[in-house]
Amino acid sequence: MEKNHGAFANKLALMLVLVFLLTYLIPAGAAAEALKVGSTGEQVKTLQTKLKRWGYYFGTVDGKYGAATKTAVQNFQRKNGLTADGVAGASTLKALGMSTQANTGNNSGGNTGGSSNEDGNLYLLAQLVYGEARGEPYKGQVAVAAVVLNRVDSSEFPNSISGVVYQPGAFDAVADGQINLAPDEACINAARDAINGWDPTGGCLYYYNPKTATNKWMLSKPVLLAIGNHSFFK
Amino acid sequence: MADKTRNLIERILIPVLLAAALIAVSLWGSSQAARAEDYQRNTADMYKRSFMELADGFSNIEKTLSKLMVVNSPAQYVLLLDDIWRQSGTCVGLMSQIPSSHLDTAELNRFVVQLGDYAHGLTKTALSGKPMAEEDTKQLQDLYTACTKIASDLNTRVQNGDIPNAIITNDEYYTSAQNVEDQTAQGGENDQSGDQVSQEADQAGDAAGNTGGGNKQQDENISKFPVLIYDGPYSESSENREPRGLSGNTVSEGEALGVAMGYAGEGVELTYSGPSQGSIPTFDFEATTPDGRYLYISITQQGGKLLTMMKGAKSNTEGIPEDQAERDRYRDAATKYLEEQGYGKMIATYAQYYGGVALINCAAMQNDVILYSDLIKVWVDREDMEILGVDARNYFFNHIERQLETPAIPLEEAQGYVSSNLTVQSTALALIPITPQTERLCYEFKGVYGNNEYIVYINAQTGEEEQIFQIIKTENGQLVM
Repeated sequence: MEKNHGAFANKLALMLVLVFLLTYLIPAGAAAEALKVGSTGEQVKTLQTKLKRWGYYFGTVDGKYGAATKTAVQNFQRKNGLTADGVAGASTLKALGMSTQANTGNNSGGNTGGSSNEDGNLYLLAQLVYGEARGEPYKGQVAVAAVVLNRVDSSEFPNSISGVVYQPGAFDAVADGQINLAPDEACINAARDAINGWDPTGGCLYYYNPKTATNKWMLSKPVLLAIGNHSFFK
Repeated sequence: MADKTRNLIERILIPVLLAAALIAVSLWGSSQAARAEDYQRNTADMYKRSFMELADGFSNIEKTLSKLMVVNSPAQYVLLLDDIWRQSGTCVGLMSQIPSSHLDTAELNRFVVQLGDYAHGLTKTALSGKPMAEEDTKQLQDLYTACTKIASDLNTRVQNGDIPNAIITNDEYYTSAQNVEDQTAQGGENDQSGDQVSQEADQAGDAAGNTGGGNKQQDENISKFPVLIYDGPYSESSENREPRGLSGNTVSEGEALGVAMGYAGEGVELTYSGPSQGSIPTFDFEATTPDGRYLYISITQQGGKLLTMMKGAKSNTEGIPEDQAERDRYRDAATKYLEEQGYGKMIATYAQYYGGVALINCAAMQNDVILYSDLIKVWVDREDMEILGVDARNYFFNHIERQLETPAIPLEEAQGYVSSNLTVQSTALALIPITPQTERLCYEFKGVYGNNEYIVYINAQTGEEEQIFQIIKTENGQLVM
């Protein structure tokens, strides 16, 4: 009995040491030009600034990729459906909106005159569609995007895409953070088709899933059409 | 020796380790709690700030409206109206940051949007030198009364610390909303004035031939705020607009299927996906083509016309084609298709290229005048010119035979009113929407200045500059010149 106890304690101590070693000392496998534990410089500073701004990183922005930065990167990766290896490789940097060298080269030849937030709005709309309706048929995805755009045009709602999407309490996908997932190509196309004028809902401002909805106000409204799992109304 | 070590481990090392772990967890826990509290305080402060700024915003609108009661010079009048427009914009932005349910804020939101919209419309009238109509003076008086009430309510809430600081979802809101509605229905002093104004609105609607009716209007009769009568993008009349370009009898679902099959082509089996009672009621059909692409078709219930068709593209080519001849081919495919469909001659105005398609915007023509409201969008496949999609919603909403005036001033004179900075590349006569219910005959000048493309519209009767558009440059869209 006593012997077992001792062996257990030994194992516990050994495990703690191992966990410590695994967490802090063994560097993860690295890809070329990726940022990882030990990296320093401006890129790391940018990385830390972004992670801090988005609430993943709580240390100082010192340009040194240490344990805290790694944990922050892992949390970011987990939230965004990336492999949580703690190494900021190409895909992670892209998700962070940090251009890798190759990218910068491509962009420099792009358009020069004027500026617009068109792409930003499109992406946000696609993110909302992905968060709210990724299991829906294509028309149902366009319909969700169209509801957002109909709200923008309505006097009862904020008058910008970001205002409507982030209106407190308006969308479940915003409340539970699914809005931050990277949208797939279908959702981006759906957002684009909606922005270009396709409105499968004929001007609807609301939708709900009749299988899960409990809101009496919503259920009391006449349904104008149904697509996939969603019922739409004005 | 071994016993001693074991003893040491059991008696000292384990308790110490456990105690250390407990302390570590407690420290971690309290730092997490502190961080959570920090976040909560930050968001609550932001909500509070928005609410207090909103209260200020309404106080400002109230003051500006009160000045309008006594203003006499046209310049001051315009400045004050412009101020209201700006202040209402600020309030709308703040409203969207308040963590109340949409059901709670919708009415106030509509009120303040329409207030700004209305003031902006009045600015334009005032600038054109027309005196203020008597109805407008009366409406401004009503608005002043309503804003005084709103501002004082909000400020009382600020003073009492009754400020929302956590998100209320629509679900949670229902019970309290019910209470408010009951109270409103019972009616107070304020409601009566609201009722009066909305009854006038109903009459005005009837006079204009709007059938209206239904739930929306009943809701308005218990509105807490005056209903504004005016013509602007957010006015009731344009939000509850009826399509005027559709005629003919109501078709059956079976007849609609027949029409849809004509568009689907051979070998495609359409399934009925249900009716849609949106702004233009339709029968909807869907299918998967033999090569696995989606196909959606909506046929109008009135007249059995194709409202929208959408089919997946064969490729996912992006970007504007370099080759002018290629761009012309898409344009011609779209206009030729519309002509075959019996829409007469339509003109391509703007093209976008994305996801394997060329989307061509086409406007109707009447005696060589472009009718910009009567728009049909046509999606052309970039691989083989197949017509993938059609969206005729705007066309059916707006298209009727127009009473076109003859221009009072010649093209050359109109061009003299265009800024000399603009290098004009093409000109045309066009009927453009000024407000949802008024259109104006204008000369259209498409041109460039610096790196940007612009369209300038000069009123063909008065020579006034009616509108200026800057064409936003994107990687996939361009004007068709």
